[in-house]
Amino acid sequence: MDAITDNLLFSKISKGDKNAFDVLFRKYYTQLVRFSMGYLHDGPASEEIVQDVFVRIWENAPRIEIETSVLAYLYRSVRNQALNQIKHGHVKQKFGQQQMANPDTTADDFEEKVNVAFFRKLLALAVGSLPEKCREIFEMSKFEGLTYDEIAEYLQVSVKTVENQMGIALRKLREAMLPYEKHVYET
Amino acid sequence: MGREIPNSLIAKSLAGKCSAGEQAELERWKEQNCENKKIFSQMEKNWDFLTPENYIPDIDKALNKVNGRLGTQKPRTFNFNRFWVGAAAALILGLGFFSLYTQTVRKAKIITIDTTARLSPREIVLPDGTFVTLGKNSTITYPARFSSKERKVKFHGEAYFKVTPDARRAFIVLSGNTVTKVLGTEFNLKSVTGDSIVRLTVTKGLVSFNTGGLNPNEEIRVAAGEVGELHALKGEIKKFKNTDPNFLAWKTGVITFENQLLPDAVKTLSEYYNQAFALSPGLDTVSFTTTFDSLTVGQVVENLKIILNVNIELKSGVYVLSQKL
Repeated sequence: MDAITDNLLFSKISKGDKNAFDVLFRKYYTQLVRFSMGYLHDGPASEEIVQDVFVRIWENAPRIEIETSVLAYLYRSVRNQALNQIKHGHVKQKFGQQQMANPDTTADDFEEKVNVAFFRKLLALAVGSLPEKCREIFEMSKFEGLTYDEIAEYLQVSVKTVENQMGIALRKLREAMLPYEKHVYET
Repeated sequence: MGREIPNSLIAKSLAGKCSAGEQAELERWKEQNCENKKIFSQMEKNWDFLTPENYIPDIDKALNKVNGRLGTQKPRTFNFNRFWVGAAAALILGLGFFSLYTQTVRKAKIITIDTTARLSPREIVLPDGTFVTLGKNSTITYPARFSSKERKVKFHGEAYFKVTPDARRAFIVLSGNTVTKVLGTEFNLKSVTGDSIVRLTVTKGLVSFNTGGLNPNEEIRVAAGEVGELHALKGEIKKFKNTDPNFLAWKTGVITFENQLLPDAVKTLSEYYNQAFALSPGLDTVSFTTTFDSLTVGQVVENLKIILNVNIELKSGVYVLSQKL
């Protein structure tokens, strides 16, 4: 039902309907920003990314092909943009600037916070490279706080599958971080 | 429970979804030995690192911001009648945004070249003889015949323009929210992350750069060796000396670093190769000098290992540079 409404909105947007654009924007903006926070841990940067995605939709809607659903397209775009931003290293810099602005932080604190930013970056990239289904389930649970039942229903899989995939995600993330064991886990 | 790690159970517990019985089962496993306890605490730490901060955006403010980037009502089809109304309005408002289709162009064929699927830059010649090297993931739209008054193209991505001099017809590039206007000169134009930043680097002559629809009065003149940069979200336009020796690397294949700090160098490399690099803490202050000529990312990594005397490992798709212990 929702997917049909979204598709309708999207086809209106491709015809230049600004009202339809506003409706779609209001419907998903907050949700997408929060989702992006899981990767970036930076509110303004997350907002910027989601806004970029919407601007692109407005500009390119007639040429965008929606394969599954509009929402899936939105999530994929936001995730890709977030991961791109992490890969290109803007996150750590931004973090550094925030720290400079806060004179209360001691040097040790600062060192540790920079490390945290570094680990978060590695973790975010590790989440990004989880197998697709596994990543989707993990994101829904961790970044969006959905219950296992909700995830199972949304994805039309069993709760057992959700449990297993969450386990796989946790194992893979731990494996990805093991090379940094000394730094990450002993601070 | 055997020696296996109860991954799913741990996940369930961290997500706060365990029943009392399950929680007790997990505690028993944790108590079995130190290794188990350690594994659990590692997973817990990862879980905590990934917790998103609570953040509530202001939708109205955001929508306003986005509206500022969309221009006015924009023609969506090539229906020129409808379009004309829009174009006239745009001109009156001084936006000049989509006036690509001006009167003489009205009947001319519109050509779009898109390099999204290409691995290397593509060279094209526009109807006036202007030479354009179009980078990857870029599009340029231009009429098969330019108007007698001006030469307008619409562009997104990265390109180097070598504009044929024509004092009577300005050459105008519309990109993101910017208008770049010249008579005959050479420059590199790049619009990054969904057009929110547009960067103009001039190599020859003088180029006028303005914010188009956002703030029509704000115009800067960028000379050879200078960079004009528009940050659409901040609505700010600025000019500075070009300090990036590699702004043409995408075209020439040559990357040069001279006493370059490692974080900056890594940023250049990750943009050029579209490959993630990460620095472990402590390498931020290292600087070095070298030139990479048409190397693959693998060759660059091998070179860096030797030049910097560091370890570089590929982890989950990221090259991680760390100090040798």
